[in-house]
Amino acid sequence: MIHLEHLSKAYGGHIVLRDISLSFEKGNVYGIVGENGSGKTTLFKCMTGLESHHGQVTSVFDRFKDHVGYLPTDLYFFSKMTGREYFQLLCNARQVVEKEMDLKNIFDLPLDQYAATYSTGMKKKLALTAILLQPNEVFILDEPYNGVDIHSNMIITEIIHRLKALGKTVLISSHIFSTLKETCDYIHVIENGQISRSVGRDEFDALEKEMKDFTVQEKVNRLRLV
Amino acid sequence: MLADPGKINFLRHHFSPRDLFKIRALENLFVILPFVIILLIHQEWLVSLAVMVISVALSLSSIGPSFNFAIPTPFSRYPFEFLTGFRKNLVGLLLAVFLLVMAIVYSNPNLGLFSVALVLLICLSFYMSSEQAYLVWIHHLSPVAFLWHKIRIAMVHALILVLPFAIVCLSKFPDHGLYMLIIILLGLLYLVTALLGKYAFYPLTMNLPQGILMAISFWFPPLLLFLIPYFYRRCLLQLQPILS
Repeated sequence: MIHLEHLSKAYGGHIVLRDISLSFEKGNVYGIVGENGSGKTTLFKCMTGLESHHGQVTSVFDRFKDHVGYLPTDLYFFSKMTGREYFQLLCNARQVVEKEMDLKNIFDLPLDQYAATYSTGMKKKLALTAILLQPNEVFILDEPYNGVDIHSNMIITEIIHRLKALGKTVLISSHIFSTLKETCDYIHVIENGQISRSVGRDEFDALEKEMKDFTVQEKVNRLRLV
Repeated sequence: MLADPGKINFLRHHFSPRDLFKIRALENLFVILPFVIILLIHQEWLVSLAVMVISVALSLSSIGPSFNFAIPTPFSRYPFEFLTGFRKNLVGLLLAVFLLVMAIVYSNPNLGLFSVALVLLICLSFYMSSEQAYLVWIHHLSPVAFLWHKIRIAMVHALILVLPFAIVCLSKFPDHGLYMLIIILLGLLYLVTALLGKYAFYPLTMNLPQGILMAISFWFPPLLLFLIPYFYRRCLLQLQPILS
């Protein structure tokens, strides 16, 4: 459905993505994990066309970007725009007439307040709800769980399950492995701009153990805490 | 800018209330200093003292963080330039209303025409800063369709703002219709130029030579005949990678 072929990206001499080739199929949920700065956000930006890149992104759609709901990690809201008006902006952008905004405000956000005054988690929930109001086929969610409370965390997980059931393709990046385990069909590990490992559901536990043993333990040991 | 909520919050977290007051009072005094000097030169002792007292007193105020009431606007259906611009420039728009009232009270048609021009100038300022690429990317439109959509919205919204002023002004000074028409038409042309100028260098802001060209066009409007097509072609080039 979506194919990345030899995707590479560099900022000057700094190579962020190296020759990434991946495929994402309809009705599956994919997790992208990696350390900060490993290239997850850049990968998403290249896929959506927000960053120029080498290599190809092909899909079954004529204009891929028009079918993607992208939740960026670095959210920006105008200082004098309310949550409701942000919804309106995103609906207008895709020619969606939405008359049930209040009903679909499932996170109970104060829609008539300026969105710039929202907390980090509220901004995330606003932006996520806004892309869910659009008729997208692919959802790229960059750190959807960042800053959100436990209850909203569960709602987001349920939304991802429902999207999968509807045959949508979902890509998520997250630092919280438990949420990825719960939602994803496949996880791709990105290290230094390269896909170092791709695992299916049956290997998630092994991957988690491996990450704990070799990455976490080894690094914390270096502190020599006494 | 001096009472920016973010800045005040930052200072509040780093300084004691006493030091915060000192910093803000000094900032305010620096800003009014040139005006106070002119008042003193003109021997306006009491007024200069009053200005200083008011500026120091204002350093105690903090309207930003607690003021979260969304000012209603007629632009909610199609956010965002006019919607946010209207709220940010409410004081300027109220000044235009004041000038219009003065024009009617004192039967001064030039002041009335100026109030209409002022509203159009304020509208131009809505297009001076660029939005994040994401907010352009979300549009399900080609670069050409995107630009025409933006131009159409800008025209309609500008007319919503300016027509009440024009109608009131014309009802009092009906023989100034031609001047009014010229001002509105030129204002709309400049608005289109500002809009195209914003996307002509997107995601960067307009560079100096193009800014100078735009400034010159205010003194020599025929320059718009060159600027508008030039900016339009550049817009298509700049928007192509984001929207295609």
